[in-house]
Amino acid sequence: MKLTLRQTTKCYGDKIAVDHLDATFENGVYGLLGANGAGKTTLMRMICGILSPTSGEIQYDEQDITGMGEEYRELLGYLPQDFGYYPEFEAKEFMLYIAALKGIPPMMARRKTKELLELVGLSQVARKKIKTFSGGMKQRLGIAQAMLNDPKILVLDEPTAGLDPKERVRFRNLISDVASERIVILSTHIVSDVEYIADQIMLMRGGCMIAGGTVEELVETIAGKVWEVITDRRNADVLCGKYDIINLRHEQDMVELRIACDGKPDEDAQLVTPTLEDLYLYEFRETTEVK
Amino acid sequence: MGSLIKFEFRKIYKKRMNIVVCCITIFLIMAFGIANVTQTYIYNEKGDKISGRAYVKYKKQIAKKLEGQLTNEKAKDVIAEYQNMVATPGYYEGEGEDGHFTDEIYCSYFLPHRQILLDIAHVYDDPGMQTWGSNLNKLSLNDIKPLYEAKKNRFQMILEAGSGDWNYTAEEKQYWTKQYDKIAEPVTYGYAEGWSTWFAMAGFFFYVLVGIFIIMSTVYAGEYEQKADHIILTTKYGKSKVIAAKNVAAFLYGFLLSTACILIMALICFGWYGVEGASLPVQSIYFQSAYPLTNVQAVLLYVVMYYVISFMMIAMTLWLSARMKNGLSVLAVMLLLVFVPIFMNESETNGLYNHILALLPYNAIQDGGYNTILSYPFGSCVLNYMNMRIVVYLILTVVVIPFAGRAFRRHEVQ
Repeated sequence: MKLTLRQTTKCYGDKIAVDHLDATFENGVYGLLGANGAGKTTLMRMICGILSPTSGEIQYDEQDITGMGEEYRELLGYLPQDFGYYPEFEAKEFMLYIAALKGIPPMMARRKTKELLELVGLSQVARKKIKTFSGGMKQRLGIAQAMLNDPKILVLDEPTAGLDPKERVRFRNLISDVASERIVILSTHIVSDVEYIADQIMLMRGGCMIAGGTVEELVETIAGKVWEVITDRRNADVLCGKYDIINLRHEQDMVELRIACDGKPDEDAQLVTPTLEDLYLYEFRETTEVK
Repeated sequence: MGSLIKFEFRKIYKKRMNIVVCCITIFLIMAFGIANVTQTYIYNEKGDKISGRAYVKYKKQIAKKLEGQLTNEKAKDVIAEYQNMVATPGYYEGEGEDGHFTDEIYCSYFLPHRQILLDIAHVYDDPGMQTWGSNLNKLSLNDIKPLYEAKKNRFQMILEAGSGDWNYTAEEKQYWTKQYDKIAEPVTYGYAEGWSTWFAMAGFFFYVLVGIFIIMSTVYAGEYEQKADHIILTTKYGKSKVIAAKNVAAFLYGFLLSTACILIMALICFGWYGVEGASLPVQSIYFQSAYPLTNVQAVLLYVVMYYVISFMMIAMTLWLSARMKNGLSVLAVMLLLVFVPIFMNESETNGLYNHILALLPYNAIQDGGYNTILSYPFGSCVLNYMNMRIVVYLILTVVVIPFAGRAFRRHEVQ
């Protein structure tokens, strides 16, 4: 089972959303990290066949996905970023509708609906209209519908948006449980969402894949470049002007800075073990607001 | 597939806006229908204005007096009686075109005989003219041709002369002559108020069409607006069976709403006036009609035509809904398509334009068109106005509906 993207490009007029992207996905969890406008959603939509590439191709087991039609869509589970729902539908009714769209026989649809609603913690509100749901509940319903057909390719666009910390942990565990026999591609801004569950991380910027690999491999690329220093405000201002600040925290009169640079930025600076978040903030420092 | 249709149907009927539009449509049909039958009035023989159930009772009384075959002899008697009435001192005021019956005679004699008098009078009008009975007093009973001979002559003259800038082809003339020869003569008159009222109120079905296309405008566009297309299009049947399910559900909903409105209208017309006159020829309502049909056949044929027109409107709306990105744009286009022709007048010089204009939804839905000699020749094949509407709208439905599916299948999310 292999999903291959070859020179996949999507242009909107002069704007290139995805730029000659090559990638191969096999069983496992792939985390797409990137700032807004990096091309993550466009890429996912192309993988799901709801957006055609301007050039290049997407193949599943060496077959072009466009030509596969129902055969390919049968393998898909998709949670879009903006998940459209029918306000007048009940959660259960909505699940059964999606099950019908996915060609799941009615008996199995009812069983899977029950199971999944329980799994995402919505079994108590299965008979409630979706319009009464909170953002997090809608998101959980979206996750449940994506998994109805036990998809071989599960595409989740910002799946943790709107979830509280407890729900995010539950979601991460859920994905880890189901990831062994399928391709899971998920996009997020939240590094911790993918740090623990993704087998492969893909960093996207300007429609291009700028880095990819396991968390360890990626973190290794900035090993020896991440420093921490606690200094006074005046010196902190100087350091902020000279270096890329990954993180900044005020502690009474002092400021704790986390800095990414090749050499030691300050006499008191200590070399620290980098994290994926450091890499993310380092890579997207031009577009990331330092707090 | 069955469950998909069920869900798609549920999506249509559960939508709050659709419930509101559906209720308004049914309310309008009921309100217009009830207002029409309850407020229609006539002056009785004493000159009293009567309406409601008294109107029905009085119309039945009048019809009872005039029922039966309108033979040539009876027609002559009717003309003779009219001329006697005009000649009777004190019954008629003024001369010629400006003359009229006194109020008392108008109510006691003219109104009860109005339909039969005007039907006979129109037979002796020149082709293309309508004198509304003022010619009756000028007819010489010894010289005029028998009613049905004159009627056929006039009919043939119209075919030869053409209508407006439309010259009937040889095939059309042959077609209409054949149709005419199938009409049972003499024409039988009788009470058929329910049936004539049906045709008078048929134009109200236009509101049902508007209601239907408002509801259908979001069948596809609603998915785009709600961003549900993202999920639907990635599912196994998202580009195949769901399209058929959506279309079937839309047609089913349209059919059911139409049927409800037809039944309401039928209940109002026939519940109020009765079903008497079902087997009378349509000529008992439209004396000049060249359609060899009974009233019940004419109404049923109209209902079939209405359904076909409504199906085409559904198909067109679904297509626009699948192509455009929101329901409001669909509504704007449909409203233009449907309402603009209302303001387009018939041409006095362009017959082709008039033939096309007659086919546009607003005009097509107005009535059965049984009183016109409107036909569409295609070589040796001639379609009368009724059949043409059915065929055109059926073809358009069949042609347009695949485009809706194609547009949705090719839709790319934004």
